[in-house]
Amino acid sequence: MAAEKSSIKIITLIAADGSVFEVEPNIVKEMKTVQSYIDELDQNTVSIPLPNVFGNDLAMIIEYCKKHASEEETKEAKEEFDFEFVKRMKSDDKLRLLQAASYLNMESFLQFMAKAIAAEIENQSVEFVRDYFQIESDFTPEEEAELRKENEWAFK
Amino acid sequence: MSQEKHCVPKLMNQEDCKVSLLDIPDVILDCILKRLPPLDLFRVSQVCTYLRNIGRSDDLWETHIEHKWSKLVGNDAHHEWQWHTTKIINEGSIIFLPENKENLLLQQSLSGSCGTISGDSPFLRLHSYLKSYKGLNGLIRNYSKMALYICLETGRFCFPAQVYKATRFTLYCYDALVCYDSKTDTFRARSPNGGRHMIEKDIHWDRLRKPPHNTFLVDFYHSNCLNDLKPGDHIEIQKRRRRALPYCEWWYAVVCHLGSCDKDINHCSCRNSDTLVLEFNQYSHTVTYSLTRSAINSKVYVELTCLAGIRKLTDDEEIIKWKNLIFTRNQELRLAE
Repeated sequence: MAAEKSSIKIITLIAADGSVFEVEPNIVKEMKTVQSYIDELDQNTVSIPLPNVFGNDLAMIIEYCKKHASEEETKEAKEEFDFEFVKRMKSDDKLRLLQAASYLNMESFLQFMAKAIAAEIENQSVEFVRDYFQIESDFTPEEEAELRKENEWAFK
Repeated sequence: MSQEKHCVPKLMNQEDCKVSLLDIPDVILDCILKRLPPLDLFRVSQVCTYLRNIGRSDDLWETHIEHKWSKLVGNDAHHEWQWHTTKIINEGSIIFLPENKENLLLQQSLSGSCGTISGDSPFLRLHSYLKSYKGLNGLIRNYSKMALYICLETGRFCFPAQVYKATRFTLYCYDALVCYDSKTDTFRARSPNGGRHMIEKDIHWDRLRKPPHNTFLVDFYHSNCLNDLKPGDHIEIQKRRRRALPYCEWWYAVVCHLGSCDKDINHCSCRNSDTLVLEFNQYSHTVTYSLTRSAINSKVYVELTCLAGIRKLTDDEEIIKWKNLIFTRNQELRLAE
């Protein structure tokens, strides 16, 4: 079993929109959902459907995993990559990637995205956060009034 | 291999997939909230009832308290906070009635709610106070940890702490009720005797400490180290400000050899002597005091010497702190000369 598993050379990931990605086994190590799938299979070639992740997102995740799995890259280069990686994402991308990370069960990528999202809602208004998370206020008028009052004194 | 696990509805279009907060599992939302600074966490908790309930959870705010306040807010302060919260929860809007005239005086001199009181009349001492009112009481009842953070941060909670003080001739640590000023990132210290008198302001973090166990506002510190003290040991000793007043400050000293000892480790018997010699540090020289070990616990002796309980310093950090204070003071005085 162990010998067979190590003979797996290429893993094929199929995203929700049908796009196909061929990656090396070390790239999916971080994706616990995928890894457990592989561990259960008894084959040399593996093809895994990921109906919850879009092609664009999966491409980004794989790019991230490749960079971080690489042993040649320095810590500084990885940090630089992370910085640029977050910079080119839109707000929606971040939330979708966070969801994907949760679905794929990728601990460190999940923390990375959580940090990026936290940075985005830092120093923003309540309205901004509502808009960002696609959520409407469900406070009663009394509660709203209480919150307004709270703002006047709490951190003053 | 169960196929079901991976059979989730297929998403057709990326644009359709706007992620709402409700799609994010709690555990993951927690990861985001944990990374928010206090003010942002507070703001996020005003977004909707769902975010209010998790954004104000004790766990999240405990982390912020730990991060900013744990080096200063110790058991004494937590005990006082507990006292205030219990009072607010139990008594609701009923006003706390003072038991005697002195309590009344304490109450009237402050605008908030008094913490625990110790000592005998007329030397009553207040261990904390809280500038509280209706709105804040609501927060305290429902979200105690967040309320504590807010009260510390905004200086509403005046909590027990000890303030280091170093001048040319003195070097000690005194008990005070301190409150924080976030604008200047400094503290104000008030006297525990009535709480009315401000003693000092603009106190920086490094001049404060959380009171070690059983050292805050105690008339006599009972130690079991008295007979083990030997030359080279670092100690703090309680010293009364004035005779007949129970108020003490903690003075730093080092145990040294007796005058008759030749300071040779091989035949030094200072440890067994009933006389204990302490060396106090002053700017230009040191002052030594001889004490009688067997008499230290006696009331008359305390009255006579104004010195009370001794606490041996076993924590290197505490010793280093005193040494740094001496160093900084000496440097400042030298520059001023």
